[in-house]
Amino acid sequence: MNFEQNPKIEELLNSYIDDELSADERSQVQRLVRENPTIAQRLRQLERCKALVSSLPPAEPPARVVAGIKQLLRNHSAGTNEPKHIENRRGARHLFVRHILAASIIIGLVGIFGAVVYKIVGPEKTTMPIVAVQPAPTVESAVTPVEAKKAVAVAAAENSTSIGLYSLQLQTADFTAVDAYVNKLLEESPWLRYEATKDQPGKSAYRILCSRGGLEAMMSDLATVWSKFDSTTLIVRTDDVGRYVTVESVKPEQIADIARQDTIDSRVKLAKDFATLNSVEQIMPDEKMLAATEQPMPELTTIPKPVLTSGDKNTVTAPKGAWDQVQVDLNIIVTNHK
Amino acid sequence: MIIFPGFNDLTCVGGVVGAEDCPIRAKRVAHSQHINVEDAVLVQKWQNGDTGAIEKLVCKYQGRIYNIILKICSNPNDAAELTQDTFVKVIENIDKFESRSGFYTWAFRIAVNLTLNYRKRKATVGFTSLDAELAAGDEQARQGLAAILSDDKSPDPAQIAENKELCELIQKGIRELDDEHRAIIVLRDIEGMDYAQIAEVLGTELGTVKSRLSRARAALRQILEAL
Repeated sequence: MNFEQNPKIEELLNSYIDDELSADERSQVQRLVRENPTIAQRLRQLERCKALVSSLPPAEPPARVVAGIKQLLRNHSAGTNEPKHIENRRGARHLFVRHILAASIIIGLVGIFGAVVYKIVGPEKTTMPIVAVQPAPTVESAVTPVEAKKAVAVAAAENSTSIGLYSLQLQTADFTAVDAYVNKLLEESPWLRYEATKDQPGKSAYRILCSRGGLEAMMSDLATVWSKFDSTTLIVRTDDVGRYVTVESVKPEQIADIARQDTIDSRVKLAKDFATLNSVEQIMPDEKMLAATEQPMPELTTIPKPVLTSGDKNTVTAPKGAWDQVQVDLNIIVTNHK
Repeated sequence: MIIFPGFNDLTCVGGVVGAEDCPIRAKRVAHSQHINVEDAVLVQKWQNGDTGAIEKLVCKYQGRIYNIILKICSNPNDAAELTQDTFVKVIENIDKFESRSGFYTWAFRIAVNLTLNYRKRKATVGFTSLDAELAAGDEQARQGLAAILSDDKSPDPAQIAENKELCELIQKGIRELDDEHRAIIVLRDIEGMDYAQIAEVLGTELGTVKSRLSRARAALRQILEAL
């Protein structure tokens, strides 16, 4: 007989050995036991199991328990019940203060955490350098065909939807040669309009108005002297007044990529991605940067490429004719870095 | 005046009387509700300011309460602490004790609840009793246990009590039960409570006590056979 499937019989047998049955029930069990050897055997098993446990010697409480309880009784007899209530009130006050302190600490930590998160993911804030820019000449004042073309470009820039103001800060130890190169490059680029300001020794500021294609061509030319710059920083304006994204160690192709974006949001997003990427490269100059989509190379440390929500060369399709419009307003500041 | 629950309804010949006027009937009623008359008298004295009464109650039950706490929690140090905690609660709450149940079951209920709650907390934070990790019994004790379980040898309580290794094996088996089963086995087979008292201590129904005890014994037998 499987007693697990007959829990009532098992309960009955247990009640029998525990003397918890009425006289009638006891008689029934005794009859069952007489008639069924399996039940009789199970009853003996249960009795043995019970006898084993019941035979365990009782444990005496240690002397310290008895002494502790006696002390408790003495305190009780001495009327320490009244102080107990006072202690309870003190305890409640203490607990309340602890709760307040804990809440304050939690609020403080949440505040710090929030500030850190904002610092990491929030828009970067920097001061846009003040660049002295001469007023652009009007179309009427242009004399030569080249000047006329430049003036038309400026007018177009002022009337069209410019993609924003950029500032490119370049520092070089070879200021004279590099500045001369930049000057020459701008002079020989009729597709862009620029203003040069050189009122301080060792510093030249250029304001450039051009199309995105023009900017790309200029960056391509600048790339030849890029290695001479000790520091290259691009500052991109955001939607928020007074807020800018700073891209340290920016590369010419990155500037062209950013300028290629159609909206401020996508430009800011791409600028942030490049800022992160360049920052990681600065921290780990000896590591090769791989895109997350490329085949992993086990011998290299693979750093996930920042996810570009836009700005990928292969995915951007500029509207036809966009390259002919003046869309970029860029300040380039070249300074002597001694 | 001592007041027992339901006492004012009792009538002796000659009109309505209190318990002190009809001790035989009082004792019968008290027993039917698991109320020990001696305990009830001591509790009443204590509540009336007789501090000696509590000492008698403590002396009467401290050993038994320690014993069942130790058997449930398996750790002498924890059992000592929990025994003291039990009496702290008893003393703190004696004013709230309304004699609806006996002092005995009330105090044991406090002890068992404290112990089971302590075991739950311990299980939550992942502690295990060092005592529970001890290897129990030698080969001879295992053979003796197997002989008793297999019907070859009648259990002799005196011999079992003297056989330290065998006792260790049995205690190890009890420790391996889950808390509910361990508590009910301890209350019935070690403390010797009847089913109604166990139901009161554990705060459960009589039917639950029967079924749980049945399952606990079956589980214990399986564990002991596997040792």
